[in-house]
Amino acid sequence: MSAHVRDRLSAYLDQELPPGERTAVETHLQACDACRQHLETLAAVDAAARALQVEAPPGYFDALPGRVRARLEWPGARARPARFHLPAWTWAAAAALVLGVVTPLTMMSVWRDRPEQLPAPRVAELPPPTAAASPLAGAAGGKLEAKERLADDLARRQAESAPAAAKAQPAKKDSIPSPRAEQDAFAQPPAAPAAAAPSSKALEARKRARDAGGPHEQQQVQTQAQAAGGVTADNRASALRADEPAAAEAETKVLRREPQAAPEGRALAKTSRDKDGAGLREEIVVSSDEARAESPVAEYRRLIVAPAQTLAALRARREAWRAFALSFPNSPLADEARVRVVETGAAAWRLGHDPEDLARLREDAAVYLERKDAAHAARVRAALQKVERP
Amino acid sequence: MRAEGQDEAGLLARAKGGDLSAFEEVVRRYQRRVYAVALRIVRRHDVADDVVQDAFIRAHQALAGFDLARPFGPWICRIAANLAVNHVRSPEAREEGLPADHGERGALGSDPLHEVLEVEAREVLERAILGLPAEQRAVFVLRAVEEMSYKEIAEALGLSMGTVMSRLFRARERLAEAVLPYLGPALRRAQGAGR
Repeated sequence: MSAHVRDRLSAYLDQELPPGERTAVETHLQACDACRQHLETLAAVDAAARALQVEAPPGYFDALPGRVRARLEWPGARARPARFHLPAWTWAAAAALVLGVVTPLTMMSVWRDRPEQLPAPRVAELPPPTAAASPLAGAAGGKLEAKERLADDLARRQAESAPAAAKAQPAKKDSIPSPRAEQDAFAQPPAAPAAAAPSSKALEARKRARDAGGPHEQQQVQTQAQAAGGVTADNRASALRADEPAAAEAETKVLRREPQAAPEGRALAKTSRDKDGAGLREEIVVSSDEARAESPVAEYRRLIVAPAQTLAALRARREAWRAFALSFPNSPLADEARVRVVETGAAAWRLGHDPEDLARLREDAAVYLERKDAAHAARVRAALQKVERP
Repeated sequence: MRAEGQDEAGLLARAKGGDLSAFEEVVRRYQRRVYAVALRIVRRHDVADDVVQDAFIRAHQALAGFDLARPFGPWICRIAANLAVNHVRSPEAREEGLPADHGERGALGSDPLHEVLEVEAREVLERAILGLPAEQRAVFVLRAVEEMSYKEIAEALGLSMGTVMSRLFRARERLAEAVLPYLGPALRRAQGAGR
């Protein structure tokens, strides 16, 4: 068989050859069985490829037109982010980096120059907020003062390094929103309780994750609070305690409770620890403060555009979708985000086969399927089914 | 009046005028075809879903300049193919492995090919298509499945006609090599049955 003709059989099949070449190939084919058979094979391959059907998850095509329409109806749907526009979460990540790495390093040098080494103020270590009236007030006064200075210093640094976060919640005690006001800002519709708050199981799972994380995890919570609110729980408690003991006590209680209550009033999403042995990995923090800074559509597009291919990325994306659904429970895209929590979780399980991912997937799917407004239950069931009966 | 009963040009005209219900119907009509193009190129359902949505959004944004005398199908498929190829060209996609049980492979449907290809042959072909280099796969899908001309493929993917031709040739050679052991007997049986 002539290679000269064979390498033109593909274009001949498509009738894309110039007339002269086409005639030459036809002439050759009349005398060459091998080339004719090869041409038949190529045609059969095309026909076979055309006949192959693709199948989407059950219910996918029922929902897709509505999902596209939802994106078109939303005012920001046409606005793609500028090419080099950094989404709000990058500022949060930068702030977290500054606060988590730069600030401690800076503080180390500051503390080296201090006459007394002070531990970092932590809510759990602070004395009861009645220091002013306590007989120990004088003895503790020095440390308390130092903590207040540290709080002021941190607040000032945060204001300088994370203006967006500081703007969202200025580091002034008189401007700290009350817990009620904070919850109001994320007021959930009464008709969709499951949308407004994660399941108790999910909360419990997060608490377990935090508990398992130990000090490292606590530091993350603190960093998230810094990134989201511009002032840490410790700082706020310390600042308040100085002249308003009663208020400080109430605030401290609230702040101590805050991590557990976070999903209600503040959506936090961060990656779980990387079990791939990759060592340190940057935590991804998505707070509702950042999410609020952009429209749901902008946030949705940010999440949906970038592909998540690795196990760590899939887990982070799953949590980001969860945060989206919590942050924008009234958005038409919230249901899709909830479904994506499950689908992304399934992808993470398929890739890593980590039992923790499987447990979370089952839990997320169960929570979704319990919802009365679950518009894509079929998709969730399909995702679950693929995992349970691959 | 239900949108299903309307002709395509009428639907598109209404969609062009801002009627989202009409465009939703357009999406309903073309979604399977667009999804098939996207999935065959990107290979993963979640990515294909993103591509399909973005393709329809972009088409809607460009409707004002769309000539209603032209067929919508090839146009939207070109948009989807372009987005899909952009994805597979991305560094993330290059690192992307295909999960062993990714589950989003094309399902085998009942069709006349049953008489020509056996199940195993089709599975081999399917795997062979998925195993093609992404850009060969895109060209092959657009030609063999979408039956686009070389010129249309070149425009959609930003390639020269010669590149389209050579990629298609290489893709077909690989596929033919993969399925030939299965195709030969099946073809002979089909020819025998036809006599």
